[in-house]
Amino acid sequence: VVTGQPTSAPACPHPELARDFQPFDLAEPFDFYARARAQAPVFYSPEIDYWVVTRYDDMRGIFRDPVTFSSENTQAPYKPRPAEVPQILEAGGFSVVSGLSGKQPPDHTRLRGFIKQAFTPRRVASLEPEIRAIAARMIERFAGRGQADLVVELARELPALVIFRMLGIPDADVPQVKEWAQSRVYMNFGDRPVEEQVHHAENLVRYWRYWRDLVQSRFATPQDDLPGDLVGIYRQGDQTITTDEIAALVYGQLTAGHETTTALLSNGLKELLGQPEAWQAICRDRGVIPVAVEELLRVSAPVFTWKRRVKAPAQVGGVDLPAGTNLLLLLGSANHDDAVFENPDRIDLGRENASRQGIHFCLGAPLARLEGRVVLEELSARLPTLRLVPGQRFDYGANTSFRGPSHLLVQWDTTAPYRRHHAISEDDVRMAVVVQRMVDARAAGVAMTLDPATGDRTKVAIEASFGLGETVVSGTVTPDHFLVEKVLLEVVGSIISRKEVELVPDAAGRRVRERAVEADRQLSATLSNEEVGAVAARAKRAERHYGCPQDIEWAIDRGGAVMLLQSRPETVWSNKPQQPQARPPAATGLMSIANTLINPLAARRAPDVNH
Amino acid sequence: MSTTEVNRFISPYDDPAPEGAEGWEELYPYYLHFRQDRREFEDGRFWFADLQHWPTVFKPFDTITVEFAIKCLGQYNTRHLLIPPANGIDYRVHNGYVYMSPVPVPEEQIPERVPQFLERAGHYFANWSSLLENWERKIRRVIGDLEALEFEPLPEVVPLEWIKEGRGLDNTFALTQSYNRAIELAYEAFQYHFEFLNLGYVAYLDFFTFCKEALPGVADLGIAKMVQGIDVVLFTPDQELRTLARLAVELDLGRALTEGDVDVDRVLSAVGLQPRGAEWLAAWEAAQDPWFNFSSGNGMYSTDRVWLDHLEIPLGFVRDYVHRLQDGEEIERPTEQIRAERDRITAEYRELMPDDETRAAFDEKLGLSRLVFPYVEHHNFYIEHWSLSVFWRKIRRLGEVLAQAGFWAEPDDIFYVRRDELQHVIFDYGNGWGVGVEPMGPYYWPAEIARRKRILAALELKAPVPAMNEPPAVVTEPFTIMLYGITSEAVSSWLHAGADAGHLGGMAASPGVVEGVARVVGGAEDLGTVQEGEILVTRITAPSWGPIFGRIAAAVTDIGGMMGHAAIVCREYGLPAVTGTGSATTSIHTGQRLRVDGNTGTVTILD
Repeated sequence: VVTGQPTSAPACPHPELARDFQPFDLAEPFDFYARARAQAPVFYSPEIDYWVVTRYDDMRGIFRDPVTFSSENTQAPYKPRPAEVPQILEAGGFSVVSGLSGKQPPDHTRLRGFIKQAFTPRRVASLEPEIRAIAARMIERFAGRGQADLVVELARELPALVIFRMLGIPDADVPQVKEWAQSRVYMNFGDRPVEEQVHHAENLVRYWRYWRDLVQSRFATPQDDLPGDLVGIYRQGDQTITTDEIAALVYGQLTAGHETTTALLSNGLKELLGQPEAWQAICRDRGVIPVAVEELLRVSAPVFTWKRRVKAPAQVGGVDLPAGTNLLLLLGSANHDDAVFENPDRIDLGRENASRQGIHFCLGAPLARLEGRVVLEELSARLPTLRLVPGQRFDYGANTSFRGPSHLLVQWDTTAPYRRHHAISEDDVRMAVVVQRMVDARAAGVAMTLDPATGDRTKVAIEASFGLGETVVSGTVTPDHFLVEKVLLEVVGSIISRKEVELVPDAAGRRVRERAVEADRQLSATLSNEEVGAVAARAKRAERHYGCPQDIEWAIDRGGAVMLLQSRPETVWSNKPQQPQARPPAATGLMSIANTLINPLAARRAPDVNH
Repeated sequence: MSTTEVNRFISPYDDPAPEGAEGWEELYPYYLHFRQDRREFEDGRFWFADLQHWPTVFKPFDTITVEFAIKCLGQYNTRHLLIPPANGIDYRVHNGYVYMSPVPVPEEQIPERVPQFLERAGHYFANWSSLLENWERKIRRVIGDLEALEFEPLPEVVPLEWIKEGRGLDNTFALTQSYNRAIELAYEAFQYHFEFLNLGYVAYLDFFTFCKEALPGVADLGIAKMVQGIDVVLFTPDQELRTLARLAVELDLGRALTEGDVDVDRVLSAVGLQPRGAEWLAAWEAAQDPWFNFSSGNGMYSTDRVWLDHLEIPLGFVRDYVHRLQDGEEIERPTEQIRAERDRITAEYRELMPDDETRAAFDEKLGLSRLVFPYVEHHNFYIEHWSLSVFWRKIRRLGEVLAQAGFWAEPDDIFYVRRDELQHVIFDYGNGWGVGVEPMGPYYWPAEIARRKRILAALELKAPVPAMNEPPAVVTEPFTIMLYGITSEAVSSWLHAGADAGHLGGMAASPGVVEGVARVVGGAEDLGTVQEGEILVTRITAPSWGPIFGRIAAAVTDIGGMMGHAAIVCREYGLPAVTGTGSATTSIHTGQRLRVDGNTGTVTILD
């Protein structure tokens, strides 16, 4: 087991700076960074026993000299681990420190060379359709709702799903693997109590075993995924690495390709939506999205801090550092260094991007950029009115490296296209809050007191599905359709569709649960003819009460009672200047009868019939 | 389109007789045939089978009902009332079934008929009640005359009193006269049948058309319910049976009446043995005239069973009613409820009318329809049930006489003989009687009737074609539509049953017709590929697809209903939409030209 050994600390010339430095709090560090860059660009933090580097140019020099500045400490914890932890790790056969990022040449050269054979641009590019499908599907789930938490509902899941797909992890294992991966982050980058660290250590052991088994299984059954490719390369004769090292590489890629991209998306979207003019620019011209992704990488670097160890005495930013000194590199500060970037906090879609250089240049960066680009393309195309929910506080998980809010509440306007079409300005829109008792709906849906297809006021059109009406309104099921003659209350048309899911109240969980409809119920009619009549009668009553055609939502509870949930005026046909069939003035008398005979209805309607 | 357009039905000349039915033509009068020498004319017209009134193969005698009915229907349009656009309906018998072809009035003659129509029809509408009273007297006289007809076997000798009174005529003369009189009276009944009927339909058609225009989408049934009669003579036979059932329960005859099977004689004697049985039997007898002259068919066939000749039918109904009364059920027709419901329906439709002017026209036309339309139900009892029941009974009696004379085996065999041939049969019978020799008929008819039965059996094995030749582009003839429900849509569905590649059906979710290029979109990730003016073809849409609807010309979905997202948004944007096609995304490829008809819910692949 290798851990970072603290070195003797040189005297710190800036105790007040060190006191104010909060290495585990990444919420709003930029003012502090600016102060540090100005007052003491390289300072010592006794709390973590690291020298902290804040300027762009200093960091650039460090990255370019991997011999003097080693990465061997990157995955080492900041503070000594409790005694239990190494015991657990050792007993569990956890033999790995890092896949790649913590390795030094020549090991690093050997391993990186090996994985590069598999991690090709082709494999990354080939993932685009899949990434787009995943992104579209996830956006789809909330797009109709008008608000969402982009971290919980998009940024946290999407990179994981992508990398899981690439690493060949079956969907069923995903939740478990994610829990283990989180333990790894807390272990290596966090500051957790002892008992919690024990728990995470146990998880780490399980996690490691999982990877070894996964790689072993690729020997038995080749598969088209990254582990499969690596095993393939190994079997074709490149046996410069061990199979445990393959497992370690794959294991490393998970966090590398997952947590970093989640941080990029969460934080990047927060920054981007915080500067609405940049977001609007993207919506206007999606061609600028690649530039925007680069800017997000800069402004909200997903890896906010990184570590190096001084191997030979060196000077950084005018400070002499002995061999063995641990360095904490504040990438987040470097990227906001106003000596390099004009208006560093601003997302500038015209900015020449400063590239990061060095041997540890992230292997997965093209993948992260691709994911960033696809997400911005999909979001801007689908939800152009996206904006931050005002007044929210951003909460950052306590670790030094992966900076991203735990929640990002956004809202958008689902009615914007409608309002634009009808030229209703935003100022004319009022909002009401309605509180209703929840109906335990056996079936529910909508009804209109006219046929929405034709404007025919002699009909009541009903759509119905099992459970709550949300599935009908949102279009997640094809509902049963009933057309009822309004006066006779006769069902004159019905189409029974396959209804695969229903939403049911989960009283204990204080939420609504989607569940599959049993096979034998899927194609059965939601409503009996009597119930169709009862819903139609209820709709008729609403129409009579309001004196104009109504668009209602209804539900039938478990006891069979028909509930009117909502009634609002029908707007499409009712606002047409003329009734659908303009008639001549009503003629009376015998001559009108002769006229009926001479110009029969069928002839007058001939153009419709004879299309 | 990928299918060959079928727009013609088979020609009668290309539709051969089924095997074993060769020579069927001679079973029916020559003027009912599609003649070879008129092929060009006949093939230039559209014929449809009238299976509504004559659903089975005609026995030779039975064409009398279609001949008299359709001839008299025509005369009222053509010669009495001068209905402006419509003459009669031409008709033929083909392979045993009757086919109709309405005869329009040439366009240029229509205007000159209007004043005559106004005067003639106007007179009837203006004097409807008194003319109808007169009508009822006439038809009752016809029925009385039919009832009075006697068909008796020829006696050994002419009665002595005929000799003494110097009559100078024999019994064959009376038989011939009775037969001719029966035919004449049937003809007269059918004349009266159409005296009011066409006008009843004209008024109803006018009200119907008015409602459909003022309130498109109003249910046909709803219009019918507003006009329907409540105290209708046609319901009286059934009412009589309910009355008999209640009387039976009152007289404590329920048990005697309902025990055992429906053996009429046994049941009636069991009732007669009860203390108050005679009272009930008298009521049973009294109800029969005229109310048991009620056919269990439509009256148009000799084979239709009439209550009076099959007392087990009404007796069975009475027993059912008795059972229901004993079970505590209400058996009375709830006329008050029906009236209240009719009033409710009328009031609701009236309320849905667009304005007061339309409501005034509604009131006037409904008033006329309610006055005249009940005749449509009224006449049915007097003619189809009562008159024809008597007529068939009389002819059957003649058949019995001739069976006794050896012409054929069973009374009903007479219906295998054409009505013109029957005049020969009656003469043959009288001829042998007069000459004092055997008639020829018993040598000729049994074999001939057997042959005819075989031909009819062969005809019955083949289903009639629904129509023949090329249909009109649009069926507009009001009586065709009114009486037969034959519309362009119906004709089209007969034509296109089965062959439908290149067409997709779905919900008519948003109206309008548009042609354009298809863009099949697998999911939200493909939305960027949609070009301005393309037709979006997708499995399902979602609220978040809003912006795309500003670009497309129409939407077609595999799943979704009238109130699904695609439907609602397309209506908002005024784009045609067909939803719930089931298979649009698999049947259609990007780049194909489509026609989307949001009025009818059809999508046509044009290439």
